[in-house]
Amino acid sequence: MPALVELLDVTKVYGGGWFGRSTVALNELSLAVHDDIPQITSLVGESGSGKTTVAKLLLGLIPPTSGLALYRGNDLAKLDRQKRREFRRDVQVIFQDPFEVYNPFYKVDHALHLPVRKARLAPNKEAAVELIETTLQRVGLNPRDTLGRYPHQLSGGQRQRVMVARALLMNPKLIVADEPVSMVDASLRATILENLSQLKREFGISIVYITHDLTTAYEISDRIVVLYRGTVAEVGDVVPIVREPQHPYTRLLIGSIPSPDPDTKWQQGLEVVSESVSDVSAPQVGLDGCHFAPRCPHAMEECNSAPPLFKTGEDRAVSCYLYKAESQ
Amino acid sequence: MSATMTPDAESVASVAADEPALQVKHLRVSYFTSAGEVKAVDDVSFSLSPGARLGLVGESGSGKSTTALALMRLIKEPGKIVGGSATVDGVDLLGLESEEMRTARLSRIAMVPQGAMNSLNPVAKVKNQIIDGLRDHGESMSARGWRERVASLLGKVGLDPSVGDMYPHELSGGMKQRATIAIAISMEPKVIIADEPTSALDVVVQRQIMETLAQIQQDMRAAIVLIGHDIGLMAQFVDQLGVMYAGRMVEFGPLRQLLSDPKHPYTKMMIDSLPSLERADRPRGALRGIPGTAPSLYDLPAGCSFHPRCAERFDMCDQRDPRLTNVNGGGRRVACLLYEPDHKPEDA
Repeated sequence: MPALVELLDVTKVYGGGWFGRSTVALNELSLAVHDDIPQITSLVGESGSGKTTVAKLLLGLIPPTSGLALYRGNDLAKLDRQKRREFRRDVQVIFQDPFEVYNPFYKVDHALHLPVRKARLAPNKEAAVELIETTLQRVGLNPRDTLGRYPHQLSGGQRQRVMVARALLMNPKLIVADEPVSMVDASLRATILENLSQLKREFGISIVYITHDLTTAYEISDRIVVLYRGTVAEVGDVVPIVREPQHPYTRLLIGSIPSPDPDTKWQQGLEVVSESVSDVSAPQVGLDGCHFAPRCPHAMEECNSAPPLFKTGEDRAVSCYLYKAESQ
Repeated sequence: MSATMTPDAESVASVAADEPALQVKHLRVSYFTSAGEVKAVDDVSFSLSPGARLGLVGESGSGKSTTALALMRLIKEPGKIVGGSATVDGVDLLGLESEEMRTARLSRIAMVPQGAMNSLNPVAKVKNQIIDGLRDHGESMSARGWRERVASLLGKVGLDPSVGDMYPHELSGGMKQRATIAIAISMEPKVIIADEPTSALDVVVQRQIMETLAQIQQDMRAAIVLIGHDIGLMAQFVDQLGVMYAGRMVEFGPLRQLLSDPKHPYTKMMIDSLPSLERADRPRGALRGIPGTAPSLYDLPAGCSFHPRCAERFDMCDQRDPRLTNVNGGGRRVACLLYEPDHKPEDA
């Protein structure tokens, strides 16, 4: 069975035209999300890594510049009406900011009734209300405390959960969650992450979790894709990658995360090229080699041409020439 | 470089006898709105030795940033400092005339702001922004003198002297934050307030900036108050930690003890809710959030503000206000009735 959603060698270039400078946001990325075994896949990267571009491509919000975005083996751009409707039900999204996704002039009911009506999820008004109420209960909200209220009358956590309920209404196979916890307090962050795990566990929904925070990705995901300036640095099962990172960038990233244990000091002797020299944040246009090479302590001649993904284990790959020899 | 992240025990002990660099007593800040008085900071006290590092953590609305702004005397209408004192070098900042306070800023107490991108002037070169503050404090020197001064300050924060001739938009986020640190330390203040200085940066840059800040702060023997919500960052940087909730300090103490043996139920839950790469005490993914939401400051629950969310509450909690009480000695204080001998229930 073809993957639910798949990106094949996708490149996305923004800008360009005759006079504009173009930016390669994503460079030949491939990623498949299957729905036979529900999984949480995390896309981790700093700003400018292309992670939100991946989200938009998976949702069919933007077309790839080259490469293919597929839904069940069919080109997303060429879906017929029927398939497009199925796609819109199967793949849902939760956005970053639980404060800005609502129209403040409408009660939250509006945000829930609209998809029910558009996707014809219920035959009549009563069935619609019942569907909405049971869905709210599934995400731990009391319908009486939620319905009939305006967004500003709900807490951040409630608003974020209403968005989860809205996604759940469609009975999706995949939810793309774009930085769902970056704007909330620590106490709520844990609750929302727990909700995401629950969606997978109880409803069999796959999740693509997009974040800049490797620790939260580690806590909840099965697979992880580490992105660096539009390319995949490392991909595989989350535990081996966090325990034994291979790509120099992944190593740097993990070594930089401050540990809440004061006795586990920030990793000593971490090799890093100083930020004040190298941290010029815009990705260089037409950069042919490894994007991390300018900051990499292991950079060598070979790095001037872009490294492919070397397979370094069962379901694990890294795009770094250091692993060329041991690739299988 | 990271060896300098925490002042060693000896240097902390030797300065303990000194006059504190910063002593805050009974600080109160209120906002006067049409709906009534909102106590954003309610009776907060702490004291810091020269070279000491204090972290203030709490959820949004806990009063940690308001405390920082109050120390800088930057609270705006309808907010007002309604009580307390904040003494730096024998001078109570809260009692100064506004002109005197203007002089005290930068020379006695300085702030590294949260969003470097919004705090630098976009149309002025970095060097002019550094020089501005110094000139305003009456310093004057030759063009060459200024050039050397700027270069030395930029050098301290790990920036090339050429950055002085650049505009903020030419710098990366990390470099901009370094530039704001250069401005903050330009007059060698006794106290540095850093309000989430790295929250907009990725972790790799965050670490580099914090290490630079640690180095400078140690060289200058300034006391530092780091405001934030990332316990990991606190664990790597500070030696004392204050936990704030709904405008109050609910727990205070040396970092290690506070993290390894938290007393206040809120602190315990906060630590339990932390995602981490290396927790031995629970399996991966077993995160626990804190139920409920932070209370509105307009309408605080009676008694202890945390009691509606607390797993350990008992019948007195919605009636009595807990006082910050010493526990276990060693400077540990906690505001919870469980630790007040008179109120503790028999079976607890």
